[in-house]
Amino acid sequence: MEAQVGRSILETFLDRNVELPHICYHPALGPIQTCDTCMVEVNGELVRACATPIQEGMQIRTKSVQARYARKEAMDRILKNHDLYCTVCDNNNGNCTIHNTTMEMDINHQSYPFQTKPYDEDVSNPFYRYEPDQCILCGRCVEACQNLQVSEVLSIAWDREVPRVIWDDDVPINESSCVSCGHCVTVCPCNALMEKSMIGEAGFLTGIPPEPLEKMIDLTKAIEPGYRAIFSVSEMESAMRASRIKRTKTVCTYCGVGCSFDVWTKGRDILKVEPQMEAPTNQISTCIKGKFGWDWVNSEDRLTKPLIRRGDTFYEASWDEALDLVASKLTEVRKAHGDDAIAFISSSKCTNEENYLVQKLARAVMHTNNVDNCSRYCQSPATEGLRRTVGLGGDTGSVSDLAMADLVIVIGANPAESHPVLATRLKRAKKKHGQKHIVIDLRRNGLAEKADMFVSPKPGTDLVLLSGVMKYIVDEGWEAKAFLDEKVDGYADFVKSLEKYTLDYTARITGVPEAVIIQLASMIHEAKMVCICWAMGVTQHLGGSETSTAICDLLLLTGNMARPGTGAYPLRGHNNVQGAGDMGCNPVYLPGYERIDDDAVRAKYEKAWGVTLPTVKGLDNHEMVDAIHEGKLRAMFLQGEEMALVDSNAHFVREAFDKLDFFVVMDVFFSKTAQYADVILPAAPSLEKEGTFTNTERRIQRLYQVLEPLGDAKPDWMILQDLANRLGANWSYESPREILEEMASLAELMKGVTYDRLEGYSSLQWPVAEDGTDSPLLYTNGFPFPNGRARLVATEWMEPTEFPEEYDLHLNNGRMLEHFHEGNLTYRVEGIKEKIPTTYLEVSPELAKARGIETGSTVRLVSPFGQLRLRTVVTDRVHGNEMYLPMNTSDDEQAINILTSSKADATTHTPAYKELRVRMEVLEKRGENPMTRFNFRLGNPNPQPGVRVEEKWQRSDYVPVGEVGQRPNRG
Amino acid sequence: MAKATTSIVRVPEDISAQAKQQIEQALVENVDGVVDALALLQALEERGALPLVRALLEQGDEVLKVLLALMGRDEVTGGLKNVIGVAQFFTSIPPEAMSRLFEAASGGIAEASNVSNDAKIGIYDALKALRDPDISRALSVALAFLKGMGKALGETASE
Repeated sequence: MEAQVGRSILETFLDRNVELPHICYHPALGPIQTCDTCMVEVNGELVRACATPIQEGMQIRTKSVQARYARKEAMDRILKNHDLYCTVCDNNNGNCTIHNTTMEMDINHQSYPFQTKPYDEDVSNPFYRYEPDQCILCGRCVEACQNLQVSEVLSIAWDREVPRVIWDDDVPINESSCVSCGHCVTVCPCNALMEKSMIGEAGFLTGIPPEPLEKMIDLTKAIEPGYRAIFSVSEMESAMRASRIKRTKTVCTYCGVGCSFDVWTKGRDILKVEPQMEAPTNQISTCIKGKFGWDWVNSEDRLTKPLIRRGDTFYEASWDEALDLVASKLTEVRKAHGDDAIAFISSSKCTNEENYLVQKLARAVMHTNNVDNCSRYCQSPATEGLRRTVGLGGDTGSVSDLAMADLVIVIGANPAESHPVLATRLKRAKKKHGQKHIVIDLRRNGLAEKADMFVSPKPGTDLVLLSGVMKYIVDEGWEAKAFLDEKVDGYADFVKSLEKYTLDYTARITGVPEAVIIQLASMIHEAKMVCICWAMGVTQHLGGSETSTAICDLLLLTGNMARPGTGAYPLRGHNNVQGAGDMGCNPVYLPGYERIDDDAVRAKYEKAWGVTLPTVKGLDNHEMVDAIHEGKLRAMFLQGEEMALVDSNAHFVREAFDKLDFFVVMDVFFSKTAQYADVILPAAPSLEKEGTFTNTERRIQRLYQVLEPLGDAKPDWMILQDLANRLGANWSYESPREILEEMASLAELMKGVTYDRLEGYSSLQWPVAEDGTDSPLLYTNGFPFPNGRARLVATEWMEPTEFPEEYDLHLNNGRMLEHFHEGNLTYRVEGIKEKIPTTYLEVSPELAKARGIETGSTVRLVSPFGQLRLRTVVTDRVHGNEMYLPMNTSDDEQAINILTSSKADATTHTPAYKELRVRMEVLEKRGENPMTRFNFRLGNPNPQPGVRVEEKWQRSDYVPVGEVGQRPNRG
Repeated sequence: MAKATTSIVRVPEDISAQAKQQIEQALVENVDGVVDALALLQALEERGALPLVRALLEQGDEVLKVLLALMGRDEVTGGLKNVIGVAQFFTSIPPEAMSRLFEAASGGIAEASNVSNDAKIGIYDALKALRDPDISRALSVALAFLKGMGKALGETASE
């Protein structure tokens, strides 16, 4: 047999589809060595196939008496810990590892009787349970928690008389540091760890009340005619389940990482989310939202009928009434005030196809370039920085490059909470392979806790810090000379622009000591592969585009571009922010970032669409709000964006909505923004439609329809087409497939994108050549500029927004792991709401002492634009006069954007959400802690190297499976 | 000039009309099946099966409890075990061997029916009979059976 060097015997077998029993081994986790079911004989010795590397000339016997006997003994020990009642078990769905292995080994009788464990089932967590009686102690869950998710919560207490899995130092699951990511449940080889949504729902007989169920299990066992018969029945039952449980692949909508997984449904009930190894970005990884956060789909609050406003009340209406009204009103406004009196805002939560249609509707039907999307609120500055220096507005590599790097710098991003699955790859690389992390942030975030370096510069001074580091690198002669000569323009001018960033100046402006700046530069210099991740902490500033440019400069200067394991990663916040921009929902770009002011480009689209396109530059989100106030913009069509909460200076935005002549909102819920609408159109969320999303890696992935739209709700693409046709468009798309393929036929970047190439879990990372070749790593064949070379671009530091002196505290904001955005979805998931019922203000111990507040105090925060009333949590995650408020709330008393200003990045108009100063009034000194005791941040993680199988082997009652005497007393 | 409002007037949904429409449509689409099913229902009703099944289903959990309590008793589980055991016994015999044995047995029965009830056999007759090839064949089969059974008994005792 041919074998790949470094693979284990088991992996080699599996690679070649040779069957060999195994239970604790999982391809995402590697060998765990607890179950002993993969024993084989190698050169006469019994070894574990999972942990023995395959070698040249090895004699491997799988069917020797010794090996077979050892495997049977191992399986007997497992069944001693696991009651086989498959037919009445909710995990009997054809994918139960224990069931399948027992069958595969053709085990008919249990040699050791099943023994219960002296522990109760733990049902405290709202999403999953642990049943010790069914647990075989394989440790997959522990390995997943310790070394894949790296939350370091689970371990096996091998020192107990009866070992079990424990959370933290053995507390109820819901009071531990468990983040409810679901990794443990996904890898559990049986029903010990199980989604609560499955229990009593998956099987035909599993819904029987506990008492008779127990009796049935007893009866089955009493008459037990051997497992073969039991298995035949349970196999039949499992096959029957397939007729009513549907498994559908979808793509998550909770962040830009782009996890994909199967959703199991029975009717409209979501039984579980099951991630798959073939998912390109996440494999079996999920976070709490992706794994457990979908119940809102069936919320009673869903919009299910079009609503039309008359006076101060909305009335339910038919689609015809609603769309006729929208069409006639838009036409009216257009006639009275011109094409550019109407604007469109698309949604980063909607599909590529729907985004394509929004900009086509704006341009081809309504003849305006007033179309934008919410990447304006987050990553437009990053796109700008990338376009200036390297050419394309997307991550330069893939998540796999991040995992491969030996140094990852995370600046102004909090991936542990905002991009949880991507963060697991970094945490794993650090724990298992020694990857180094530098975190540059105001706040000691999840990754900062364990980073090799945590640097906390003064707010708004990142560009100075980066420039100081670059100047030091150049002064030391550490720049990548060969790379620069070969691939980069503008070096001389760029170096000149760094002159003022001496160590002394940099230290003075940023508050970062000179020694730390030198250390930073040295670490970058010493690393062979460097990646930089950044997000809103960089972009949401007056100089967001400038700092993003400086990040790209630093990577170019040190040669960390266009190689595996290197590059620039602006972490996209929402699932399809990348796609919304790619599809041309932008005032200056058509799909594929082709400029609307380029005559040849316009001619191409005019020909394809059979219309003349507008040449006037459109308005971006930010300009739209101003234009409404100025009376220039009279009507707006907004797709699924909660602008009244998520745009900065919310009061100002709402006053603008008041002034619109006509306002259409498409959404899934009756949002705060919808309250200002004239017509509300009920849209279908991702689970109720087909389409594609593009993640932060530029990866295009298909989602399939899981559920029928609720009530009269409709997928956005259908609504858009119905409206466009009322406005004379004459579109006839039968499915999203046709829309995407029309786009691909036009956008040079997407030439080879087809639905067939995206079948199932297949994906494509743009640019995609006509033959379907995609680009996981960019620029390996040069940069997309006329001479094929990248550009070092000089930057200018902009001092952060000034506030009057009375506003003496800095207020930062960001996300919480558990909630998404303003929370319209996640506060409608009971379990999430139980854990995190509200946002809260993080205050440093120093500030708390100075103001006499404690955890649970109530304070009022006042900015020049508004005021909030918040409960406080005292924590050293923040320091000095810097506070932090998670943005996840739809409560006007707590929403950050009531306080933020209308200031914005000079180039892209991304609001400077992160430049905010406030003053604080203490309202109540004492009060209840706003964090419930179910908040994982209050737990005490229990880091372990892994499952510590050696401790199992050292137990006095452990006898190696190969050493059990010939047929000892086993009664 | 729209001020924010949360007031919504909903058209009361006519759930019963929707349901009727759904049912009517299903009827039209499945005429044959529906008519047959109705006939089946009528037959079940006439024979009293329908009320019986209905009562069983309505009292499902209670009936199940009683049934399980009954079936959980040692005698019953013992009996069930025996039934399954017998079934497994028969399935474990290769059908060809089985039919050979049955044919042999019926041959034996035919021969035996010719022997009168008061027939006697002496030691000498018995020894002489052993030399008969037919009897010898039957005896070796019987001995081989005893050997196999004894071996299996030994194995189960040590398990």
